Amino acid sequence: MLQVQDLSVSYGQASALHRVSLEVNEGEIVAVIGPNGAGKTTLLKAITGLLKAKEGTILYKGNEILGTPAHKILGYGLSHVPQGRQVFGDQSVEDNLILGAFTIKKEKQKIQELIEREYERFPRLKERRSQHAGTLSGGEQQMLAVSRALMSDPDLVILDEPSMGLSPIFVKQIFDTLIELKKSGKTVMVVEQLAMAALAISDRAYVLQVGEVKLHGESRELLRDNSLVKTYLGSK
Amino acid sequence: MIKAKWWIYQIGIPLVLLYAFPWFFNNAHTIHVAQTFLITYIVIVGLNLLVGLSNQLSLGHVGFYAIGAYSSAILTMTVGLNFFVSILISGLIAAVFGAIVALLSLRAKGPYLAMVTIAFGELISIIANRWVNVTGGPAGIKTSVPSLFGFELGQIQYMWFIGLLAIIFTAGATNIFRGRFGRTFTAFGNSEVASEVLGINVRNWKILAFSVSAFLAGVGGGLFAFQNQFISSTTFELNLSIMFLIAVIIGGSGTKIGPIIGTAVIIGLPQFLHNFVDYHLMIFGGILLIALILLPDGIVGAFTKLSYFKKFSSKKVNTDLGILHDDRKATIDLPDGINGKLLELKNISMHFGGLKAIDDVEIEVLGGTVHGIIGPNGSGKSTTVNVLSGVYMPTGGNLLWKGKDITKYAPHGIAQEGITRTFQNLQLFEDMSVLQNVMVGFHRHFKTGFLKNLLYLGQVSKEERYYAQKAYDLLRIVGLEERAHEKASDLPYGEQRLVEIARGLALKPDLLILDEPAAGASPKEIEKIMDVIQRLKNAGLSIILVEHHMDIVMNVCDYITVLDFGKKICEGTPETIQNDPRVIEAYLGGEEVNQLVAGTRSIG
Repeated sequence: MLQVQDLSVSYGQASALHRVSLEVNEGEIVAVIGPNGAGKTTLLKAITGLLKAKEGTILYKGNEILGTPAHKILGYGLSHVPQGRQVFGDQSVEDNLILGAFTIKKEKQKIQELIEREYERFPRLKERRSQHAGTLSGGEQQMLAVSRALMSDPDLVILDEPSMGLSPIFVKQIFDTLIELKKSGKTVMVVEQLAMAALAISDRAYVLQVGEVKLHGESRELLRDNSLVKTYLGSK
Repeated sequence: MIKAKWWIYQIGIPLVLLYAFPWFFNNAHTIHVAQTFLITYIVIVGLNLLVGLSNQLSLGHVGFYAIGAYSSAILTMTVGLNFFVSILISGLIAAVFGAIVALLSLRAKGPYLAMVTIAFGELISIIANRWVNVTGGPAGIKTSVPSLFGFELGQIQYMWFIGLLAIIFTAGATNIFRGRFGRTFTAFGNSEVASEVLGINVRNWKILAFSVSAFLAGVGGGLFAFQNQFISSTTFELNLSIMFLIAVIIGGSGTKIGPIIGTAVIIGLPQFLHNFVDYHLMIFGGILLIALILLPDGIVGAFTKLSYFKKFSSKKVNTDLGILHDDRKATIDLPDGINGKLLELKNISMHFGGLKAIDDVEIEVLGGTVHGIIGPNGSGKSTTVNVLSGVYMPTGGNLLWKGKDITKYAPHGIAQEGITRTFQNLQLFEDMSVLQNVMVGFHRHFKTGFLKNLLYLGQVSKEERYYAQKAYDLLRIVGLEERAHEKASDLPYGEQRLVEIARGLALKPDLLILDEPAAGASPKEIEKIMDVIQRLKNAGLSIILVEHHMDIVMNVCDYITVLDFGKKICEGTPETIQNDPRVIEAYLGGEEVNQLVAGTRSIG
């Protein structure tokens, strides 16, 4: 479904990603893990068009999307849950969801259905539907961010550190959601700091370090692999 | 030879031009315009030092100009001083006001500083307008015909007199430009925090820059007071401040001959446009806009790019500074090593409101070791570095340096003690060459004072040559001597990090704090950086290393402290750290979450 080949990104003179290649197949959960500063967020931003890559190719459903502006990529069925949630704090929960359906804004009926679906997924959001999103707790905001991304009814959902700053209970809830998404036929790509947890729920994983893919493979294999700790804590 | 050239270009030719001028343009109007040009030019030279070098935007120079004009008028007419003496005194009075404005606006930057200075200019102009008893208000007051040693100066002689002062001030300004004072002005204009950690007391230097600039504006005002033997408050309004600034920017701020060109534009243009007198500000506004878009570096800046570009980018060693490119191995000049406790963090906390960025952290750094500080995102590493370098003052605990309490020291104070740092988000002085960047690092070792630099005595040029050579040697140590004369900001990221290291070494530090020296560098550059750190370690330098790149940390550090959520979770040798379950948990995720999520999986 998604194929990234030899992707290099730099911020001005600073190189952030160096010839990164990876692929996400339909129906999988793929985790991208790595220490901070590894370039995980940069990778996601490059895929979703928020950053311009220096070189490489990004194929989505066989089409080159490198250089396509972010708002168009969303229309192709790829949705991004940004790091730190980024909900529209001054708007109600429901308005946040409606904004998530921006690409299908003309089909009122469908939007209503999607909203109901999300309320079913996270009943908490329904309780808080008219509340300003900024007044939600961190965990609730993360739910909202996930739901908002799902409002465009994407085929591929990309999440950037959904566990950040959440209590274990909320982390579990969000991770459960990812598994449910997979069951309902969606493809999921998730970037995580909580490496072990991400490996536990994903099918395959890539380990980034200082802008390069250091390890990749089946998640359950990686869980047993000693070299994972080495990648994080260095070797001597 | 260089000296002779300097005398010809700086003094000889201008003197001849000045002397010959009345022979070619001998009518009262042209001479008057020439006087105005020279007076304005003196003000612009001062403003250029402030805006161009130190990046301190002032839109209140009319205030200093007015203070100069009124004080010299009052000093001659009421007190009865000689006009020349009164002009110098009024320059000093303006300088005092400059210092006051600088103190009032220490924390203001960019547009906010501009607002403070506008307010100052407006305040002075309102006072000039309303305090009629002293200033005469809009009706004005008379001043005397200027006289020196009993001779009254006629129009032409007065022009010569102003011109002579202009030449002297230009020479002084040029000397300031090329020496350590100009470099320091540019440095804190580029990055205040980097200047501070190199031992520059930015507050005092800002006050100095404002005072010097205000002095020249005051002298300009004083000269203006005697030009027509009459001044009135209508002259001293905001639009004059704006014109001054336009001249600096159009000419090319921070360049040596920018003020001449800029002044020529703002004084010369109205001569051709008298029919449009009502539209002057509009026309100048338009010119400024066009200049900012087409020639962001001003007229002079644009020309240097054209003709001198090749000359500057060529990589030859600068012989002007007498740098030797010898084959000796460059050695690292370090203070004597210290054994035992060098730096102690005692229960250091840094709380921002409710956020405990670091909480009750204890670290001991031993002399001659490389001490690593690591931890996941948001663990408090950067905060720790900022506390250590004085950028933050901790909210709790003590910082002991060789047993002495330095908790409350400002960054420049800590630098004076021998601690300096590099920055994760590079803080190079962008307007300077690589060599000049490193030379700023020698700040605390320079001895010559302001007056000596103003005159650029032999002592000054000797000192400059000495430290240029030392800076060059440091660049050899980090392998960047080929880049010495390139603009620092043009270098690749990894090399910019090496420039920061060389600049820090120039301080001759007892302790060097490296804040993520490998971030953003390419694999090749990382190798170079690692090699440099290794060599510094071998030379016996004490280093604190904050880094994500674990291969570097584990190979270079003698001892490591691990932070997580602002707390120290463990410390020890690299081997201990690599095998400590608490560290693995901090980096790879907590047990609690893992079990919850793993449970999910077995259900699914």
